[in-house]
Amino acid sequence: MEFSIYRYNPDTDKQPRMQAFELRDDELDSEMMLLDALLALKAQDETLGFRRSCGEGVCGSDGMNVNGTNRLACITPLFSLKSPVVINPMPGLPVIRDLIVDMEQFYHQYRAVKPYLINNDPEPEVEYRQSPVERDRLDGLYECILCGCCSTSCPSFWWNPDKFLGPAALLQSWRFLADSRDQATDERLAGLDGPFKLFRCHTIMNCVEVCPKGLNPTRAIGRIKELMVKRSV
Amino acid sequence: MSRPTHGLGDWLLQRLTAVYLACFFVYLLLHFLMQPQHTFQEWHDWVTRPVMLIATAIFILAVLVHGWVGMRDVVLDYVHAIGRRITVLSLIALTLIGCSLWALRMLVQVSG
Repeated sequence: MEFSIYRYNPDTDKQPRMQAFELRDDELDSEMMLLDALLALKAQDETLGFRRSCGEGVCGSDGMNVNGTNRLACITPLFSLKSPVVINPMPGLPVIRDLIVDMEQFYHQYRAVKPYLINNDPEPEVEYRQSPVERDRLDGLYECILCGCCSTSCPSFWWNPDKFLGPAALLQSWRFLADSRDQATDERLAGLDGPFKLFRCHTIMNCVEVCPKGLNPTRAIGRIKELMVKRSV
Repeated sequence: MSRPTHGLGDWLLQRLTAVYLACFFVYLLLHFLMQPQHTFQEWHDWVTRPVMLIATAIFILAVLVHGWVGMRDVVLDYVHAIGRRITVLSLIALTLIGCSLWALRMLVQVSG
């Protein structure tokens, strides 16, 4: 199987380049994930740089652009991919080296939505109570692993990564707006108004297409707009 | 350009004007299919009915608002240098306002 992988070391290279790799058939097996193939390629050329950790789609470290689509290498079956497999870093973020990108901009937007519970009541002795129905509203929201596949596939985030929060941060924004225990609804909504933070979303829906956890940031963004309308009329 | 607190207002206006424009276009299409007008006089009588005059004036204003929010969105996405952005937005605003005033003037003239 053939691979074409983006190589770039800003300290030594003037230009990024694509490097060809190959794995022989006897090096492959039918259960292999893309990450396994990358590890085999790293054995061939140890200078190849990529992030990885848990290897089972939980940590969100190995997001990369594979044959044009952002994916997690560890849960992408190798034989679902067309050869040559073209691998690039996730688009729209500065490259640190090879497939490793600087996620700071992404985390900055995540922090901006205050991704934690804001509740000004005296802390309960045991726990904040929620009914099963209230808890169900968080399904499809809390599962985000912050891999960055969605935001870096969003054209609006490419054009305005410093001003538009991006699908991942907006999904988390709705996760706390939808939480029955949170008391900062007005403050959160006020923080999202203006033409950039939320309203750069043009429902392109690349985020939904690529999310490795099957989440739907576009729907969450729609719910935020709905709540804004309800609160303002 | 965009007041910091008007993201929602602009977004809502764009949707509301879209609904009006869609309804008006469907009405025009059905009207011309079902009651084709063959002479200038027939068209003039139809277009100068007060209801039509008001509906057309609203249509022109809806195009103005809808066009402004849409074009502004494109500029905010793609034009980043602040000087260039202000220039492009000003040109778009002038063009849209100019065209709308021209269309409204025609409407006033035809209603005679």
